[in-house]
Amino acid sequence: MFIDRRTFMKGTAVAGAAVAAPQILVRTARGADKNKVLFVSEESNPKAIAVYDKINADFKKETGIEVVMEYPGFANIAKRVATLIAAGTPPEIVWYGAGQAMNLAMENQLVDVGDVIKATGGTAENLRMVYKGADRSIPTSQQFTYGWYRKDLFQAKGLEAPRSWDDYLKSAKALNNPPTMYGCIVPSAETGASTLLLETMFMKNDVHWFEWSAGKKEYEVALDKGNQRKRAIETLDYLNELHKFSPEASTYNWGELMSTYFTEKAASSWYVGSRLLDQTIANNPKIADVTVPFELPKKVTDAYYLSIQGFHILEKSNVEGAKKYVTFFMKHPDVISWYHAVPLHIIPASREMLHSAKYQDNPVIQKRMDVLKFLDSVWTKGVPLYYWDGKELNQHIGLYHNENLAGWMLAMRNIKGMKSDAVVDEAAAQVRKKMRRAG
Amino acid sequence: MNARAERRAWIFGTTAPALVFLLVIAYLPIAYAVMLSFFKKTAFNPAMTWVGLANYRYILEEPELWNAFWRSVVFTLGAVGLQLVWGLLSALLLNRAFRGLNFVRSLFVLPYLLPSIVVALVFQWLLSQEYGVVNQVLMQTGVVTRPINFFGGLATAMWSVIGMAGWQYGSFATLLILARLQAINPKLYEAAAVSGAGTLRAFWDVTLPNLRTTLIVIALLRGIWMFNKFDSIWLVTHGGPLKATETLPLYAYRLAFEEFDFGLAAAACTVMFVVLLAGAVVYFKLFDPTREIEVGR
Amino acid sequence: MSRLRAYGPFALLLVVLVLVAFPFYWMVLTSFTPREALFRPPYRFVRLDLSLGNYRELLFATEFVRYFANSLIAAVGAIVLNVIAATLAGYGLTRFAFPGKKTFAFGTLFSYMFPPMLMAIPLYILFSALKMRNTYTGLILAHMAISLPLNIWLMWQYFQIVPPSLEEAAWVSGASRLRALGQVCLPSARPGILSVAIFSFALSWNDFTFAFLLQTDRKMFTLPVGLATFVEQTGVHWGMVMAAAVLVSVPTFLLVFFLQRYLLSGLRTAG
Repeated sequence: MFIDRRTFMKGTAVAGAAVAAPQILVRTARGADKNKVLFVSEESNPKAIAVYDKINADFKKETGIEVVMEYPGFANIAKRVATLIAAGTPPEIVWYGAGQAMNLAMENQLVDVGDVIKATGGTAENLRMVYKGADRSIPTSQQFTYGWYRKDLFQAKGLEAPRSWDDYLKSAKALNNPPTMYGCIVPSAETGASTLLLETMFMKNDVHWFEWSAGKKEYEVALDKGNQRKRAIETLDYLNELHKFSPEASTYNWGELMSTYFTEKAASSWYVGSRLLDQTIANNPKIADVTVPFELPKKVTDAYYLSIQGFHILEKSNVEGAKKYVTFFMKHPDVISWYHAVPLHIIPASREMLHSAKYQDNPVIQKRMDVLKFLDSVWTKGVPLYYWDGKELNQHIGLYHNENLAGWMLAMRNIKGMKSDAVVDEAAAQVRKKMRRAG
Repeated sequence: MNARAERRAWIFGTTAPALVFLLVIAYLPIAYAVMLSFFKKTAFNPAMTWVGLANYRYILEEPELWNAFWRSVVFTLGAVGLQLVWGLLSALLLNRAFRGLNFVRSLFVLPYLLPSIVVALVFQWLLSQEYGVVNQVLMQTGVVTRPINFFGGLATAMWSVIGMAGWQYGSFATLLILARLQAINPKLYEAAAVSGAGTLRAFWDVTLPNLRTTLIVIALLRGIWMFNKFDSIWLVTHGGPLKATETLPLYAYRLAFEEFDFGLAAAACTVMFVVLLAGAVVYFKLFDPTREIEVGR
Repeated sequence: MSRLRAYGPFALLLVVLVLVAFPFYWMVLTSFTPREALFRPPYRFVRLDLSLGNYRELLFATEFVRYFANSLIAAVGAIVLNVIAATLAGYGLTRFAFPGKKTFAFGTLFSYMFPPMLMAIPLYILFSALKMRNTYTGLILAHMAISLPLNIWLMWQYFQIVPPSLEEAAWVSGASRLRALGQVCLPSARPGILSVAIFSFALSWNDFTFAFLLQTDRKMFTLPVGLATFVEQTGVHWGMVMAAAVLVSVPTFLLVFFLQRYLLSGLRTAG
């Protein structure tokens, strides 16, 4: 036997140390430093970073508090925040989507920021994220999901921007010429891009995953019931038809939505914002001028998935310093440059700012005022997921959104070939199971 | 200092640094992770609550763990098998003196030394459905009429990943086997030829027995490495499509960083670890690598 | 028939060589291909319109250089610590008999089997508490977790080959043990030490898992992590990505070119 007593003793000692050490260490690590603020940001474009650096330097001069930045990238930011919290060293501020921040709010990790919102001029009603009676998010910007198409290619076939689901299908078919050129892109993978597409199209077809039960005063899964089920199946079948004129896209995420378009392999694409235009200008400027936005067509409603970003301040961190910083940031004159870092992609939360001369004073925006006008025209139709099903904040959206369940549905339908009704039923069952586990 | 104390100081001084490193960096984290598997710990809350075997019960009841385990087995057997076959065949082909053998040796060691991210990116580029040169050749030579979605196809993803791992580590196996081949005493082949053995017989009677140890060592060490592999597969498919390439390490990663449940992830990792432990016990029983080899071989 | 026999193996050998070498060729060719050409498949196998555009963009418009520096620092640190710890341990294991030696050897090999993913999460928590996240020290230590076991094993095997008679001769002529170690033993074990250095470098330079989970600050990203996140954010720009891949592989190529001999002898002992 190769375990002798010595080894056993050693093993027990190690195991004991393993149990004790992290607890001790974690306990001593807590305790926020009043002169430091750790700010984790999703946006890591170099121009945005330059603005952060400038504002942070000014903040340090004025208050003596040092701001340390971290840019994990939008695919990884949730993980970073998670591990920071798990280690007992939460960051002061996280800037990313309010939908993601809701996970934190539900674990009581976010502080009430109503005072900061008041101090920075208030915010529109549909941009708030209220949990347990308090605002938990300070919205700064928003992004919508909308389509982008090649005006030149469409016009060559006598087509205009699609206005209905049938239009979209027809134009995708007309322009489809594989493998040189595809008519559209329908990502069908367990990725964020795929999830957002289905969720937006669900909204266009007035499909709700949950409905409010007045009796039980809570949200219940409704995807597989009655009309919701019918419309959900209809949406999946439609996207399956559309997928015939798209690359297989079984591994596609945001990057591919852009690169397949700007390498001229797709006549139309879509994105949650204008980064697609920004990348097209950078990588293939000759088609930038004919890259035009269009609203993803309405079926029953013309609501669209609204992605709101903002500042979120975490409990047990240097809350005071964080609040001071956010107020300082929002009031700083250079904050406009931050919005200009990826022009027309990071859209201000306030419509006044969108209309302001200061905001519009940017060469890209000036050149593409058509995009700004387009954004203005659809301004009020956006709905964040957590308010889509009712007036009360729906805490359960994370169950289908975080794990890309909608993307899974598209993949099952388009790649695996499972029938739409089975997919819908299975998805609803999974959400119920997760709800039970969450307790 | 007397001889005895000096000797003790030497023993301590030489083994302590390594021992301390290993304890702190390897053993402590493993012990902590195993302990973590008995708690409920979600990512967004620093608190931990004891749940006993609940995590294990959950993942062992779910088909996902078993599916991931099966995929790990398929991947490991496939990748190691491919490496061994490739290694053997190419070593046999290379086992002749020719100019440029050194250059070829350098070439063969390169894939092993490349970062997994580089291998992942290069293979994504080579095998891309829209831009890949492999599809280009296949289409131009008429082997297929439509480009193959290698990493994104339900049927092809696992094989493509195995192929990539085979390329990355196979040529390394070639070098190891070649080194052993070249150490076989040529007189043994002469003796076989004299007693009338053909090429195939000589291979079976002389070559293989001598290679046996090397092949087994490669199989076992590579097997462990492939079973634990995270980065190569994740970087190229993220476990997709539809989890077709989600092996145990990727499953653990998903539990920790996409479902944000560290307790569950720790349980999955511990299961992985126990499987390896079983494998290690078998290896040591068969082999006893701690036995000292003779000097001056 | 005999022609097949004569040329058959040679043809097969050629196929093998092409399979191993082609990905490298394609990687390098793509890196020098102008961006426009990459938008239009099908691609030519030989092209004359080569350009440095991808490299220019990579080096000046991204933080590639910083990632490169970070990777280099981590790798050098890993080499130094590994060589010291592994050489000492290898020496101690072969020259002395002491209780628990077998356990030590077993324990070393055993830790080689630990899945990096299993270690990364606790290490993250540990390092965060010790404020060692986003430091070079933390990353180097984490890299040692995967390379040290193999290296101890290597040096142990190596020192077994170095006959004690060499040292004994030195002792007889009056040298202390320490002196004998430095002047006699180490030089003979040089191939082993160089192999350890190469493996430590390779495992550190190529590591993705630990760097990904432990280094959260962009400024501290190593090359593999930087490359991966950079691809995610800007839509895949293959020319630039291949240029990055080529540059990341350069130190590896250099290493192989100069230290080939030691690498191969190391392989023989390590398996």
